Amino acid sequence: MSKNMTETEESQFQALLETVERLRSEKFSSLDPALVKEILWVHSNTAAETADLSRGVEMAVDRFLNVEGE
Amino acid sequence: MLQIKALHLENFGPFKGKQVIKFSVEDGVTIIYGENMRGKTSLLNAIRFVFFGKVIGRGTKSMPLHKVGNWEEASAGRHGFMVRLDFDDGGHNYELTRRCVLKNGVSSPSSDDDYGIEHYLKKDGDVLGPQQSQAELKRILPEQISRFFLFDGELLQEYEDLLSNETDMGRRISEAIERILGVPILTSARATLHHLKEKSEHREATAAQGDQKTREFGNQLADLHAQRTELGKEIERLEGDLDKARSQKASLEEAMKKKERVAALLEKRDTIEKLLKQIESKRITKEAEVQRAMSTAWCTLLIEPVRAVGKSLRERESDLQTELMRADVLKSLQVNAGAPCPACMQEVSLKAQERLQASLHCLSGGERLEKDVELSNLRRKIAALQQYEESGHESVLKILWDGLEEILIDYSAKRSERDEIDKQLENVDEEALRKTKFDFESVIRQIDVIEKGIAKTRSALDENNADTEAIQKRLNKLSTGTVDSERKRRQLFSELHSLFKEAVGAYREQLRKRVEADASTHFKALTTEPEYAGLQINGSYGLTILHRDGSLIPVRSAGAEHVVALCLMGALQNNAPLRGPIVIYSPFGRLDRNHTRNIVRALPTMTKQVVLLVYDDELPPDLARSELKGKLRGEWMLERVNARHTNLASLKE
Repeated sequence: MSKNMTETEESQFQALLETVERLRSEKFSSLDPALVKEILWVHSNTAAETADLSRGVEMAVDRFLNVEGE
Repeated sequence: MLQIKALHLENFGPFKGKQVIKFSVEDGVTIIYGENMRGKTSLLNAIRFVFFGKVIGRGTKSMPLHKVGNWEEASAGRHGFMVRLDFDDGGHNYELTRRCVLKNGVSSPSSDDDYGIEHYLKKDGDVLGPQQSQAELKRILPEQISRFFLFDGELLQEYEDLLSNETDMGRRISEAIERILGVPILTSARATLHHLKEKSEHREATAAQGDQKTREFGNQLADLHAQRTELGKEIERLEGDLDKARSQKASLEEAMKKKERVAALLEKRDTIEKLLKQIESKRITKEAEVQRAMSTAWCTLLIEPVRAVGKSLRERESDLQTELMRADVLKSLQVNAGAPCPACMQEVSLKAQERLQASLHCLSGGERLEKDVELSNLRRKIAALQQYEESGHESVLKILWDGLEEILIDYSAKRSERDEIDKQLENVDEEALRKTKFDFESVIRQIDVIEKGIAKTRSALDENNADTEAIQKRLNKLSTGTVDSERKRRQLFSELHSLFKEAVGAYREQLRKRVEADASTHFKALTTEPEYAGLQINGSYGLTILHRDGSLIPVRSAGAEHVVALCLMGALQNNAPLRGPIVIYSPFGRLDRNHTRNIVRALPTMTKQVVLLVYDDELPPDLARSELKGKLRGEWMLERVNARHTNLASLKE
């Protein structure tokens, strides 16, 4: 996941993830941590277009629901 | 981390021909010394130009590019200029070149349209395509956050604006701060999830419409969704308008700030014009009064003869009165012989009566009438003369003249003042200034209307959400295969959206605490005031000095503002993923020697590469050398050749 990130981007991603993960475990524990992390990861590409971000998140959610439905 | 290795200039500003500054790749500070007007601003602008294609004049207004090329070369018919920046980022070598070239057929450029801009980026020796190059530059140094790398000490007002949540400049900077600190990653996730939540709700409604059991609810949800989409679009449109209006307001604010002196002069002149009109009207009234008074002014000349005649008439009146009184007394004594005196009611002896008759002349009936007529005429004349004397023409006229003179002096003084202001406003485009003021007032009204519109639409959206939720609850009780799976999807997006929505607020709060702590650490190292305990941050990342007794220091000097701004920059460098060099123009201009010493010592701790653009008095080279020691990586001097030509000379590499 981190092979295209610079060291500083990686550290920022970790800081953001820590905040989101803390909130998830405290108030949204039914949400899957891997899915949440993936959504954050998709958005860490700040140069991406809005449509690409939507597509990336939808794919992650669909994948998650499919796995869960199996 | 972005690290500058060399800056190549060709005919940029005063830098005639090809010149280059090389920067050490080791951590530390490079100092570029230059007197005023030698090209320090041009060097900061060269970096701005190569990254963003812009050059900023005094203040924050973009400068026309046709004025940027070297004047000496331009006067010899050689137009255009070039900047190349060699830098390292994340272990890659970059060469960024931007060139401004004269368009074919143009010999003497007069506007930016006469030039074409060429730019290209080389990464590890390979030239990148336009899109790739743009994406790389956006990642390496986004323009919105460039102010934290290219710091102009002259623009401290912008940092002061952070203390007020009201100003648009403050809002713009705090947005830039959040950008540098990574908040947009979360806000963009929140926006994506909001969009997908909406989309999933629509899918759920469509699925419900497809089933007999749930059709009614599906229809209602579809209607509410359509309404919500429209409301969402309306809010988006209004927010877009609000952004535009705010940015227009900020530009107008800036323009007005720059023309503050002229605006004050205009206002003063308007006030004087009003006063002149008032004085003019007073003058007209006073002149009419004087004119009226002047119609009888000749009377003043006769006042002395009139007084003399009056005096003689009064003397005659007195004589006549005495004569008539005596005659009356005598007559009374004759008529009432033996009766007491009518004046003192004493008995009058016969002897006395004889003496009186001998001394008084007894008037005949005809004489008596004549005397009465004469007395009556005398009294009329005296009354007329008295009225004349009492009218006081002399003093009234004097008062009127004095009043008029005062008015004329006042008028003349105010007119000179106005003429003086007119002279100062000679080359000022008054109309443009008045238009700016008018536009500013209009845009404020416009913002108010838009904000009310947004609040109203949001309230309608809240109602829609409540209705949607109520229907979804009822729909949840009815189970059908397709609707169930769409509901699950919608619920997942809804929860994800709520999580990221809360995460934005939580992350912002953490950032503020971190920035406050780091800025306070820098501040304690920089300030010379032992009673200051640190800095306190507000919602817009504005920093206020905190006294050790816990109170806030509400007002600060320009020097303190400088120190606080540097602390903010240092704190942002500590907390931002985008780290890079800080190029600071005029960092010590407002600081005393002790603060200068503290800052110089602290600069290497703020970021790995610092470039200072200073003049000798602001930062004496000996002081810089003794404080920085091994961290001083380069010293350059901007050497004057002539007013239009500066050479870059290395003092130490």
